[in-house]
Amino acid sequence: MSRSAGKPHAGSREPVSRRKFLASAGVGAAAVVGGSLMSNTRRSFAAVAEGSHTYRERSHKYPWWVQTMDQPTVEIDLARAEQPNPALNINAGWRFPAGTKPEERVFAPVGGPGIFGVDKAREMLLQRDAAGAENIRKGVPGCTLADYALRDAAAMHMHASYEKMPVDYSDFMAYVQTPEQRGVAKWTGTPEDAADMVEAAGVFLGADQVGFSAYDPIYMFRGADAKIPPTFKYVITLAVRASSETIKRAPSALGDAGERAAYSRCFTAARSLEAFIKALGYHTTSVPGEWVPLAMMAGIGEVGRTGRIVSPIYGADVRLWCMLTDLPVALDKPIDFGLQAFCRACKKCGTVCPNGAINMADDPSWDPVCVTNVPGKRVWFEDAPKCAQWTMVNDLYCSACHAACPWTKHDVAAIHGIIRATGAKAPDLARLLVALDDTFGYGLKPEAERGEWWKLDLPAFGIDTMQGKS
Amino acid sequence: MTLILIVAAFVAGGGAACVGSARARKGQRITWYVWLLAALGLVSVLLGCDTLIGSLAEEEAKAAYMGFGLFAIIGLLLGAVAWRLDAASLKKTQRSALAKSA
Repeated sequence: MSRSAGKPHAGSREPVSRRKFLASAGVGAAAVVGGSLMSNTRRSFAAVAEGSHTYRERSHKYPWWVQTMDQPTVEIDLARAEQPNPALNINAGWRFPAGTKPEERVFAPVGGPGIFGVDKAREMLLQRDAAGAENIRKGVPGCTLADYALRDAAAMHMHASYEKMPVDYSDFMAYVQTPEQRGVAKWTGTPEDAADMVEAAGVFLGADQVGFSAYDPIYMFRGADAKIPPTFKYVITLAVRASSETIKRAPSALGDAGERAAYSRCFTAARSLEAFIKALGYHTTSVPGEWVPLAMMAGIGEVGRTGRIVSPIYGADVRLWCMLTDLPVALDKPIDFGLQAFCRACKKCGTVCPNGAINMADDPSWDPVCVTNVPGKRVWFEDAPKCAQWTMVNDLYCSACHAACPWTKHDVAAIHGIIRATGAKAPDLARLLVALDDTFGYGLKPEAERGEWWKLDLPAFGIDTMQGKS
Repeated sequence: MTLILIVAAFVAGGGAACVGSARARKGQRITWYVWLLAALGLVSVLLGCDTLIGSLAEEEAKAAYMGFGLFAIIGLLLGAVAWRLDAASLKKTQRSALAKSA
């Protein structure tokens, strides 16, 4: 077996018999499996006290190839870290109720309009107005009137949250009774019990994954941390995945429908969970800051090349909501499933990006590439203005990178479990796995197949709610 | 689907046990590597069926047919190799038995 090609074996070793070879191969395979199982015991810590927090055992949450870590897989340098600047939130400041005339649009020089400049922002919105109508008139696949109608319907609750219009959910929260109003004592229990209970409630109310991390001012917007009460020591992160069948039709209005529906479900799940916690006698508020690092610290996933969370169960196709609370919960730890090495070789998200916004460098870097990037971490920084510009002028929200990620898969076919385990444990095979992914037709659907979506027999919300549960 | 595959695996396992015991009664031993290759072939065919049914349920028709084709071919090849090895081994046993009796 160790013989060099073209050279006779010069040593005194005897030729290996078929029997010996098969026996060695068997022992080798057993060693690989055994080694993997042994390495899995690293995450078996139970309720380890660290500082003032309690950490919970959540080994049952993930397959064996996902490991819990004390430190996240993204390197963080607190000496270089800065709090995010709320004025540089590129998604803010763009949206106006339908029917608002161009001359009635009043732009503040913050958020997207601040970054591009108010005049440019005004021009981009005019381009967007024209692009949507043009897409419909031309009959661009996935951009029919029905597709846009579905997208706008799916986005309703999202608009109520991220744009704070037109519904103020405090009206609904007023109907939630606190223990005090019921005349009973507020809920008490261990942090582990609280975490398990909140997770169960969060999933019931619409989240696909729930994780817990500690409040850290470095992730809060500048100036926002001073307003957060000191009792709000805990962060609850909800992750909601999009309908894969829908988002695979990106970039199109139909693909947008999957993406917007996920944000809407995320918002309703978060608001409902806030009501749940209020009814227990505790308080919550949405995190005014960066959510991706908090989700990473809560073990929802790793940060991938897209600069967003990639879940080991749902892939890149998840949307987040983070809330602060004073309910003491046991915290989760970051996870490692080999994503950093995998993303280094894969680059599929960058290949499908229509405007070159995804960083295609081999290795992550400490150096930001645009004004919206927050330094202090070694990641593949995304050129966010490029992403925002394309989505704005085309009247599409895209999300092609999320849908194309090889980790974004169902789990009905058992082969996905084998491929995920291989990707996690042997990331050197990433290129081969990506080639297979392409060959087998995974990723974005061709334009011609977008319209078939309307004939699919999809479950409610277009998602398999049993994914990751078996 | 999982249930169907488990039933198929049990049926195949039961069939293999019957073949094994019938051959044992005749004094014809099946070597361990033949069992291994046959088991791997069976697993591959079952994985192919799982990929076909599962991927069609996932609306991934191309992956379904390619996956089924790939794993089924691998499984059948392994099965064929196991069969040929077993046949050769059986022939050898019969020859040595004849030589002994002669």
